[in-house]
Amino acid sequence: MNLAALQHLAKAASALADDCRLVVIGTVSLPSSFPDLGREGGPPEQTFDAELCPESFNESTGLMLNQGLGESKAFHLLHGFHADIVRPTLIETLPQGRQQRLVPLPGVEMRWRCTQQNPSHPVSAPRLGPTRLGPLESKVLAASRQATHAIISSNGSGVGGLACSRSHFIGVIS
Amino acid sequence: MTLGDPYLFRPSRERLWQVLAQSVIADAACLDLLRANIERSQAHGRLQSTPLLEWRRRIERAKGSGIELAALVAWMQVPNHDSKPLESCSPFPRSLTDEDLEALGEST
Repeated sequence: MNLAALQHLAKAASALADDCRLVVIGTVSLPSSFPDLGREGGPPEQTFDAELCPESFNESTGLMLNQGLGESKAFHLLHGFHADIVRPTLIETLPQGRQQRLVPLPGVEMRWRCTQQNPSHPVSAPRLGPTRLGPLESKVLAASRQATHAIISSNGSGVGGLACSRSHFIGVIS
Repeated sequence: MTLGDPYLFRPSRERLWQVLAQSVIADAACLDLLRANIERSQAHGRLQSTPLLEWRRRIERAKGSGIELAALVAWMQVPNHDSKPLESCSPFPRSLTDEDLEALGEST
């Protein structure tokens, strides 16, 4: 899915869960920082779903988001992509300092604030050898080393939400 | 699924694709619905076209011959590394009922 899809999903989730922050995790968050990666051939091409975690988490909100935007729901049928709602236990597996690595989600209202990622927290290197990396892979590797994290806020208070890349997302292109 | 699972709802991919394959076996006409899903997704322009075109190619071939249909179903049923990226771009939304999905969730 490309940046427009992520933006659309984020806005829909924000409308549904207007009292919490929402965290997007994974490869689809890459175009938040690197819009070019959302084009044909980029890593997000290989997935039409986004892992989404409400903060602070409660099961009711999660269920509502799943009913509205989850796999095989009407949103999925209409748009071709969907949200995988996750619990905070998944976010806890991310490297420390994730809150300082928020990046903006462009094209979404100001209340959707994300901060820049922190390159001092590199993710694990991919198993691909350098000689096998093409231009795109090199770009993705550079992106992964900066550990893209973005939180998407839907609480209207200007407190950030995030779209995070997990350390092992590089496996998507290997 | 339990509260300890990181995903609120994410049935086993292997089991999901086996059930989707069964739905194709049960009613090959569902391939037309898949094609419509693909065309709608393309029209919105928010998804990369490469996986959609690949799905459409496979569906068209399956519609053209029983052998190709069997090949598609076999490919769906057997998990393998190569199929995972394409499965992540599934044109199968709403191919299963809510009851089917619930059962899948409970079986994982």
